[in-house]
Amino acid sequence: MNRLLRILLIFALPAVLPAGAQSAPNPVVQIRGEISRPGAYELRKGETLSSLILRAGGYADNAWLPGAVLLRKTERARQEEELAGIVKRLEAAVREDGPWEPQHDRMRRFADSVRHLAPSGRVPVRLSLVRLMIHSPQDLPLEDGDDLFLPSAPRTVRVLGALRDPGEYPASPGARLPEIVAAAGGFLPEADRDGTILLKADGTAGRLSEGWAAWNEALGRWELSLFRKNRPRIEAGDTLFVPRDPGRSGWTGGIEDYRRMLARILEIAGPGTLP
Amino acid sequence: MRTLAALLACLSLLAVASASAGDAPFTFPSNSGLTGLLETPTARVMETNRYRVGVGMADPYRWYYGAIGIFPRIEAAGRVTEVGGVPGFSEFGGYGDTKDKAVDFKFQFLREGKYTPALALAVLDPHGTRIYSSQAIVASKQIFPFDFTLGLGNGRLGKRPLPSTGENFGLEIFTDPKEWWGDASLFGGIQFAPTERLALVAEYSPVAYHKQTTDPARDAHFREPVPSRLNFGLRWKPLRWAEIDLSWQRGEQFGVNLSVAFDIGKPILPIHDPPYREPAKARASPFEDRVTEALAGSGFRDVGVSFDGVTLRIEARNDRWFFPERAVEVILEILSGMEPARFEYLQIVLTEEGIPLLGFATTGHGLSGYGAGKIPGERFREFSRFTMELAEAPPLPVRHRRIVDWDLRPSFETFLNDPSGFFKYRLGASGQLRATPWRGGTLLLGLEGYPLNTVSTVNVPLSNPVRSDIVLYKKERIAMGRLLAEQVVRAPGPVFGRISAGYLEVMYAGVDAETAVPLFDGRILAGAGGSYLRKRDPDNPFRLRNDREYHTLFLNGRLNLPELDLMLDVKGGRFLAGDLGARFTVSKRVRGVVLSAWYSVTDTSNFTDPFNRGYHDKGIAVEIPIRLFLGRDSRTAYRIALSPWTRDAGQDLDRHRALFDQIGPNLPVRMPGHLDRKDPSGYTE
Repeated sequence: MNRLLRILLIFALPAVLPAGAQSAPNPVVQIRGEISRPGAYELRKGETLSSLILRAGGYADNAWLPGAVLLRKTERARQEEELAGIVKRLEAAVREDGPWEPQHDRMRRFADSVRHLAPSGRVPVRLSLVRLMIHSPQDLPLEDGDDLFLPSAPRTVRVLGALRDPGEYPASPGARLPEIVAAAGGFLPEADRDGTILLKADGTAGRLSEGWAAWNEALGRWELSLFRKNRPRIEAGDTLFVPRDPGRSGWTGGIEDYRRMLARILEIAGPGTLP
Repeated sequence: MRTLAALLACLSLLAVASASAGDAPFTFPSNSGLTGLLETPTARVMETNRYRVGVGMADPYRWYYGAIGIFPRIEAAGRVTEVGGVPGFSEFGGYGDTKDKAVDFKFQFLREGKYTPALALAVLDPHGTRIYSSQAIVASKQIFPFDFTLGLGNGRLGKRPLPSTGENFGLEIFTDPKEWWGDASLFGGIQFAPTERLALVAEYSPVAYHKQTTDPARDAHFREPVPSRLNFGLRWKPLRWAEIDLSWQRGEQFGVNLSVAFDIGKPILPIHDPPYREPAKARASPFEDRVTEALAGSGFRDVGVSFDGVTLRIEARNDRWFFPERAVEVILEILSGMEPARFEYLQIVLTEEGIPLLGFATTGHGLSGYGAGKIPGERFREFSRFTMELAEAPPLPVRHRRIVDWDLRPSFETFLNDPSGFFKYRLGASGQLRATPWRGGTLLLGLEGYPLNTVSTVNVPLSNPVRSDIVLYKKERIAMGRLLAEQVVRAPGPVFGRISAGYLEVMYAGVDAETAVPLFDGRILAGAGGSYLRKRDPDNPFRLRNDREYHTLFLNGRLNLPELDLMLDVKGGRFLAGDLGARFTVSKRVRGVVLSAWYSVTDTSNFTDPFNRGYHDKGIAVEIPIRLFLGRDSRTAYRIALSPWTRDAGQDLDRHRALFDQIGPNLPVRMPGHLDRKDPSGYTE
């Protein structure tokens, strides 16, 4: 009788219970790349980046921490919504342009391509030695399905967009935009030279060229670019994206807002996604 | 010109809606301390809750100044301007060169925006002799590392000096905008700060020295126009808090300005109070005993604990923690480390001399969650309550009772601007011996010793001397400051009462009594008080002078605005010299430091001397917690006041302790909206 009951419990009960009542699969996180023991790990209660890295045996010798990529399902869902909002704004701009404007077709094509982009779900992370991360704000708690990838150290800068010869080019320390653009054959005539975007290896994007002066929103002041603090530096593993000049468009926020939007799309969808 | 006034009013309104600040790094001091170029102000203001003190010199002038960023976009400065080569009092050599006191204010009514400059109204020396007075509208726009300034000012910065206003304030920009416009001249300059530590400045100053007929320097030094109206300077900050400015001014003089700047209330040593660790053997004791010992080990005295199986009641006198809310948190931390789930309700009452001042109530389950970090501070605060309306319950038997207490602290007092010497002082120590033999009762002996004492005067006491003869008392090297008995009572309501009798302060003895009622959780304090006094004999600490009796009678009110960390006080009634009127005090709290300024308006017709007639008593005071220097918490605070001692209008008794100040820190309205286990000053380890 006991045996019969046990068989019933094991096989029959899950079948008669509603789906939600069945036990869910254990949450899992994945760690890949330059790590001692890559693989899928069961997510423990209170698990953070540092504890996962420790469980996976620590960094491999080639691990390049600034390029670490953490992909997260919930972030991907949030980015999908954000991308949908951007598409709506683009479509509104296309409608305002009207078909008689010369840049209309280009903007429409651009809106179409953004509509089909898939968000990466990348969460910015800043890894360091594990003992320094513990209890620090960088030691993010992990979620079910998180995927942490540790690349090896890159040697090149990726150059994309309105250039004659886009591709990957060696990154020398202190490399400047003109040198890299020259290596890539120079700007195409339709390039928005002032709108060049630097996508850093950590997934953050911002405008590289800002003219002779730029407004610093955080400090509430204009700054001469020559004296700007924290000027962006081009380093190995970074991606340079030169957009096309949008021309006179109906973009309500103006050209600066348009450029910021491009940078955000790159952050969401990753390099190589924009036309 | 009415249009201009309207425009100014509109711009003031705009300020409410304006956004982020962009003043850094151009918050350097001008010659006289207010943020500016060299002789002229900019539209920049100091960071809020930062202050600086300094000394500047550009012959023949020397400036001794202090400035403070007391509210967002408001800066205030006080200074003494000394003019070399012009004796202050020809008959008294000790005073040295002539000196003028002044205060300056700046209000940045429009913050710098992307396309708009910062705009500020600078009011320089608006009161009294107004030798260096001006009102200026000034704009500054930054393209880092350059900062461009253009302004328009009258008076010192305009075409002619402004007249004295005696005891009144002069603000022509508002009272007569047409005259201001007609008298105003342009000024401006450029600053270049390639790094946060270094800056160059070039300035056009409109000051026409040879036309400043009210300036004592004019006849001695400026009979002809100065060679140049262009000034140049170099500013260097060797440390974040220290600045050295070198300049070439008026085309004829080198200038030097040395200043230091600090955040108000930032401890010199980080405050670190290690948490209480219960000895292992104590864990076997009854729960009430464990709590009692833990509180006593954490700086509480007169500790009473009772537990009826449901409610844990704690009464404790906070002898260590400057902020009452921190004292409550310390108790909560102690209980969290024990067995918070054991009791359902918790009541904490903080007492002083046995008088309950502040109550706190919460639940055991809430405390368990908070202690384990499962409930954030703001959520925990939602089901906790600070209150002064304490249920009438028999007092708990207390342990670790402290009946006799004492303190000794260094003391430094200044006596400024006497004709026989501008800067006089006394440096020594003051000590108090207190006994609290019964609930609310205090016996107090205060002794003062000043081995270094230069206080003296050539002034004679005025017509009705209640303070103008204070030097007779302050010149003594050793004095019995107080010897008094005091009783504080608390009645339901609550209503507080105090009566003190004895030698109440260094000048007066007698009886002083007052009441205080907190209303709306302490948002308002209302009260009344009065005193019946005789003057003490300066030559004998126990003898009283028989020449006259004095009495005061006041209605007191305080509005607490914790949202702005402000207190507004009004004291109206009969002052010591019999003058009727009111004293208005504004106090600002910054991380435990209290900055106050007061101004009195009294009927001075009963004075027959010209010094008191029409005089308004005014002064500033700062209260500094000693914890800023100790590296640990302490309730002790120093109070330093700067106010003329040579006037008798608007004077009151110098009380050992006023009820408003005793109750004030414990008012529920001042308690934080969340508990975060951090020091309320924001600086802790």
